Amino acid sequence: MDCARYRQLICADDLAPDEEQRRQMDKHEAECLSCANYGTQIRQIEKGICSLAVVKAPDDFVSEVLDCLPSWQMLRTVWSRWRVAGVAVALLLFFGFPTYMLVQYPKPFVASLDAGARIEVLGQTVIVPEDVVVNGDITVYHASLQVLGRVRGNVFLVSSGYSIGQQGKVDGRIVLKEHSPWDKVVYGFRNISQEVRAYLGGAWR
Amino acid sequence: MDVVEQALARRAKQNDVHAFAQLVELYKDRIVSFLYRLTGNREDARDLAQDVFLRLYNNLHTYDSSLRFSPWLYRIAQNIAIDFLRRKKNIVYLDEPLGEFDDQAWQLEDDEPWPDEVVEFKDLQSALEQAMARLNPMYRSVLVLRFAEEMSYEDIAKVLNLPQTTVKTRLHRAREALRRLLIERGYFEDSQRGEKDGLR
Repeated sequence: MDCARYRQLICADDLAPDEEQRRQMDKHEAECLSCANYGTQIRQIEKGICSLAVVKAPDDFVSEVLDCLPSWQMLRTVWSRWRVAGVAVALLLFFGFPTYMLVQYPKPFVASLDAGARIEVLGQTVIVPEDVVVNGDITVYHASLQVLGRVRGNVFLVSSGYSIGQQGKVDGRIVLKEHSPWDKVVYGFRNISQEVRAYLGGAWR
Repeated sequence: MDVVEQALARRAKQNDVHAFAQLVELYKDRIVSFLYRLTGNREDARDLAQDVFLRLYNNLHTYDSSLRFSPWLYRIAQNIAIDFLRRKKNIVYLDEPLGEFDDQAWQLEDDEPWPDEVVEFKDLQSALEQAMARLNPMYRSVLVLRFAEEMSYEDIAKVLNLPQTTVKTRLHRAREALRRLLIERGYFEDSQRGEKDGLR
């Protein structure tokens, strides 16, 4: 190994010399005082830089850096953290309350095969007036039924109550049925979709 | 480690101040030491480190989170240190093209004579620190990145924005410049005498 090759290898710190190169370098160092000195100096320099003084940051360094951040960026950070929660709460309030109302208090309606029968719906009350005769069954949803006239059939009351006036009469059976919570939700959303369709239909017109 | 840093940087990029604070905590000592080794002054190093992290925060939106974080941060630190040294000494180094290895390539930072009190080195450590302080910052930084920060050539190339071959050349010249400085001050024996006598 010549001096040039030795110095090339001693400086190539990214390429570890193989065993044979190592042996040749050792041999060259033993023969060449100049290169031996050179090798020692290079190693000392590298080792010395490795152990240069370490300076620690002050204890309050992080807080000092954070204090220097522009305040609007801090606000932006707070906003970014809370905006998701804020939007979620707003959406919940905006849609949740009407949904809850529609689910808990669905619109009353009445179904009857007697298309000619004059059945009145006043708020949450379904009324069969005194002079009215309903031929066939009627089903009442989410209301309070007042029978003042006559029903010639069965009465099905779904989540509904009833009262029968002095002149009122039901020829068939009165069947009470409560909706399950799931049915209430389904009814609630069905009502919502009906409302939306009605609104959109009106808006388009 | 890299994965953690990248994840923190990604979160910090999304304006998570806590993630940013964790990054500062993770790197503060390394960056202050790095800057001290480049500037040679503790107070300057601490002030500059603050600038480094503020610039980091302001530039996080440009960070490509698929890339390693530390070379990117060191690049910021390197640029801030060089700007500082440039302002301080009015010297332009890093962006200047280098000529072939000659006497100019290992020039000193300035031509002032060494003060008498620093001539007598107590040990290699103080000798090196004195010599490093007189070394061209361009060489100083490549030596520090390689041997003190133990970075790969690939990472140093990213920090200095240079090809790896240039990094290797610069490292060789830096080491040689430092060695000659130590010879000049009598700390090392001049092994180059052998060259004059004719190398084998």
